[in-house]
Order: sequence, then structure tokens, then C-alpha cells
Amino acid sequence: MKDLSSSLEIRNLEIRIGSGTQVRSADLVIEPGRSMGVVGESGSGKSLTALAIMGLLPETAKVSGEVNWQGENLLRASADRRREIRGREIAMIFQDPMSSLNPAFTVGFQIDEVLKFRLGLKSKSQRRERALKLLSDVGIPAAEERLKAYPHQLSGGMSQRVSIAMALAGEPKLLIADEPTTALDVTVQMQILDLLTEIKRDRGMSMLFVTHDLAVAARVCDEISVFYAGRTVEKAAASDLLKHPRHPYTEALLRARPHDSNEARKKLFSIPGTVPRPSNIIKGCVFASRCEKVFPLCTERVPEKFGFPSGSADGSYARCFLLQKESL
Amino acid sequence: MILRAVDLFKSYKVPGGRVRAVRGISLDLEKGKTLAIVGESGCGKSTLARVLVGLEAPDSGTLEKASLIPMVFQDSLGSLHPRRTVLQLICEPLVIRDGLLRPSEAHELRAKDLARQVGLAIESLTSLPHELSGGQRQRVNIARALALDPDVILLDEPVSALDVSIQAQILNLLLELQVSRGLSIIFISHDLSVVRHIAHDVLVLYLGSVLESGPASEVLSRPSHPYTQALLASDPSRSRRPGQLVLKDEPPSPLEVLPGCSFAARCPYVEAVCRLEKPVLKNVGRKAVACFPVQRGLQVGYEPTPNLS
Repeated sequence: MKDLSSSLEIRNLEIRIGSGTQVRSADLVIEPGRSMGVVGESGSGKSLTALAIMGLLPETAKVSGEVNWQGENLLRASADRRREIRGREIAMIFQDPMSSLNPAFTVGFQIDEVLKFRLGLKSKSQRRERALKLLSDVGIPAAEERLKAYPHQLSGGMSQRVSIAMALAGEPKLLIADEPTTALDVTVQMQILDLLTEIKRDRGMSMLFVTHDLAVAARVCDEISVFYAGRTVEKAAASDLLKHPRHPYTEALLRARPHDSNEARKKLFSIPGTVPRPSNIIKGCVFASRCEKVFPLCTERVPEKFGFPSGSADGSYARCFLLQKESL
Repeated sequence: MILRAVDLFKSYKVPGGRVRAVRGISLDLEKGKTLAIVGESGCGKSTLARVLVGLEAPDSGTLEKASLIPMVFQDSLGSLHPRRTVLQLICEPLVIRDGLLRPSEAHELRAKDLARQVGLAIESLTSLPHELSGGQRQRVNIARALALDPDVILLDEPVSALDVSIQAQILNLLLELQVSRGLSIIFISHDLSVVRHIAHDVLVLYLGSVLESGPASEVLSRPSHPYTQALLASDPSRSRRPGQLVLKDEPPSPLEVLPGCSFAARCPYVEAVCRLEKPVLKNVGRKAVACFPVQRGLQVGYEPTPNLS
């Protein structure tokens, strides 16, 4: 029997807001203690998928499919049950650490609040001790001093560390990080990526890491799922995905970045056209309209998941008919 | 020489002191070349940009430029009037130059030609900015910058907010325009892979001063200054080498001006002299480097690993 104690499984998630379908069909499986990168461009549905797990979608969103957390479909869970899980079993950090902290209260007050209400710690001295421990766990020097600081007194890197500390306060089994380093400088980004890797390892926590940057995802994640126009188009081990992209979209994403091997100032490969809008009805593959390798079947049927290497059981797949062609 | 700056200084008064944002920067830009300015937030790159285009006057130093320098910003939506059409937006610099209230027929013809040059479809001329994609909006901003036929344009993080697939399209456009118009470009960016592809020369800025400058291929493949090395090593698309430099902490406050090298507090090769005296740029090979140990011949021998492999 597989241990389901801390795994997340998303199947055929569809999210509609207004007249558009923002997420057409998202699939994700995260095993206990593993990290999954969700990579996609704007409008790919990666952040909405993360919000759907947290139960933080706007009320007007129509959601179908399954979001199974330890065998329980969260989409059917009551608001009270979701509140129990949020912050306690699954926690989330965001791109802009400044706006996830309340500017009117000190760092200490905000961490204390989580410990009091989420963890239910009654003793004040115990909470203070725990808060100090959390701050030092996330690499904040002079933690005593920092508890008294207001968010505006912290740099971007420091406030992201504080929001990580707050997310960890509830001792979650799954941490969702939505573009946590996008607003940071590269040297600080590296520090935060290292910190997240370390925390995940030390706590045996699972992580869902949402980013637009394949290289960043490969740094922190065991596996990567590539999203395009609201659909998961490929999933593979991180190192494998960068070396051997199977889906033409993943390949195009990698080729469009300037490489050291490119001759300087020569034309870069670019993906023609633009991402389909959520209101577009797409019969076949979502990438067909921009794909170099498109053939008639692509616009007729939605490609199913083709596993690779063909017949392998490790769960790597791409939704592309080319893989089917190859295996014939 | 199309643009020459010598020893620029610029500081701002803020509560609690003065921010010395630009501390003695000199640069040269030749016709048809791209000069990239790289560095992290607070290094003074945006202040330097504002001084170069004339939005701010320098406290001291000289600036010689052949023409006005239009600027393109990172936020493509925020830089466009939300209620004007693409055609009106591209006409705007021409209308202002001629002291008119609305575009003339000649302006509209010119705007249509500019739109074609930057790859905007005729149908989009009647669109409002919010109806366009980020890439299309940045094309509008580039067309506006080109409207008065400048010799130089300055772009501040022009592709940072764009998706990867669109980034390549805009970079290709800039490269084409450079060749077809002999345009000189000042390109501000934190993305070293992009800079390496597009720039002829690079300035590496830290706390308002240049730490290393030279041909892009030299500076970014064989970085000499410890800070340039650390920047390259922090690029997530490059795999790590054992024992390579990883920067701790964050840059010190620009409010405090310590004597000596601005990077001394975070530098693993720091010596006593680095904390006492500020190093000036000196030629080391084909580059100029402001670092005492490097000038004396310290070879750190760091070579960045190839990206994305």
C-alpha cells in the first residue's frame, strides 16, 4: 500500500471565471517529502491551481475535477474543514512578501497570531520561544530585535524570510510557494532558494513551487509540471525535463532563452503568435496554433498522456501525439 | 562618440541622511553599439538612467550627448495613457515636438510607418493599451521612443515583465532596429543571459560605482571582479561549482558611505587596504576592474558554467 499520509493529487481540475476557462485540465501528484515545480507563462493557470488547493479562489469561480488531499476531495469539503487545513496542513507564500504582511503590526505580533490561533499555543512565553526559533530557522539574524520590527523596516529578502517563518508556524505538510523569488535580486533569490530546499529536507515537507522560470524550478524541485493555456502538457523529473524536453512547448520555452552557445546578437528563436485566451474554445491540443510540428490530428483531438520512456512507470508524460507516433 | 559621461555624481536627500545613488560613474557609448548596465536593486542603475536621459541633473560631472535620449520602461502598461489609441500614442511625441494639439496627417503617416517597423499590425492602431498583450505594448513604447529619430534609446528592464516566448520577440526587434537604423542602445537589466546576448559592452554597478566594465563577452565569460563572479554564480540557469562564491547577506545601506571599496563588507578576498581606500578602475586585460587584489594579479579563476544545460 502506498502511504497517502501527505500526498496531493489533482485530477482534471477545471476552473471557470466569468466567460473564460482559465484552467482547462490540470493534473498534479505530489508525493510526501517531494517537491513539484509548476512552470508556465502568464495565463497558464498555474497560480489559480495553487489557489484552488488553498481554497482561496474568488467565489464566482466554477471549479470541477478533484483536489485530493490525503484521500479527501477538498473541492467537496466544507468551509470550516478547509479553514482547518489552511495554514495548518497546507500553507502558502506569495510573490510579494510586503503585501502578505500587515504593515500595521510588528513581525512578532503576526507570528504570534499564527501560533495562537492556528497551533493553539496558550502559553505566551512558549509562543515567544517558538517565534524566535522560527526566525532563526529561516536565517534571520538578531531575531529578538526583528520581532519588534515592522514590515517596512525589512528588506525584500528579509520580509520573504518572515513570510516563510509564518507559513512554517503551523507546521504544514505541504508548502505552496507562488513565485516567491520573482521580486528579489538574483543573489538574494539564490539565498531563498537554498533556504527553501533546506527547510523542505529538514522537515520532510512536500512543496509545490509555482514559477515562470524553468531554471529556478529545476534548482529546487524534484519534478516539474509544465502548464500551458490551462492544461498540464508535460511532467518529468527536473533534470530530465531540462535536458530532454518532450513536449514541443517545453522545448520552445528552453530554446527561446538566450544560451551561452548562441552567437551574440544573432536572431533568437521565438515562439510565433500568442497564448490562446481563456474564452477560446480549443478542440485539440492547446499548443497546436503555435507549434512547429503540428499535424492534422493535433487540432482534432485532445492528446492524452503519453508516458516516457514509453511504457515507463515513473509517471513522466507529455500530452503530445508526437510521442505516440514515436512509439508506433 | 554618441554619448560620453565623465565622473557623474548624484545624491538625494532623504530622512536620515543622503542617498549617494551615483558615485563617480564615467561611460562612453559609440554609434550602433549596445551598452548594458547591470546590478541589483539599489545599485544606482535607475538613477544613472534618469541622469543620462536628462530627467535629473547630476550634482557634478559632465554629460555630452548628440541628441535627446528617449526611455522605455519595464512597466509597459503604466507608461501608456489608458484612454489613447495606439495611433494617438505613437503620434504624441511628434505632436508635442511640433507644438500642436492633435496629430496632422503627416504625423499619422509617420506613426503608421513606425508601427510597421516595430511589428504592430494595422488592426491594433485603434486599440487601447489594455487591449494589447505585454509584448505588443512594449512595441508601442519602442515606436514612441523612435518617433523623433533619436541616435540613442535607453531601455530600463524592457523585457523583465514579459513571458519568455515574448522576450525573444522583443530582443529580436531591438537587434533588427539597431542594424537598420544604426541605433545606439543603453540596456539596463538584471538578466545576465539576456545582456550577454544583446550587449557589446557591460558596466557592472554596485552601490553607485562601476566595479567592472568591458566587452560583454569578456566580462560575462571571464569575470574578474569578485562581485561579477558572485552575480554570475547566482544565475539559477547555471549549475553550481563546488566551492564557488555564494554571497551572504544583502548590500549595505546606501546611506552609509564607508571609506574603501563598496563591496568590501561582502567580499571573501577582502584585504586591509580595501577597507581604507576606494579602488579606481584600472585596465586588467581587455577589461577595467576596480579591485586591489585583482589589479595586483589575484586570479580567482572562476569561469561560469554554461547556462541551461
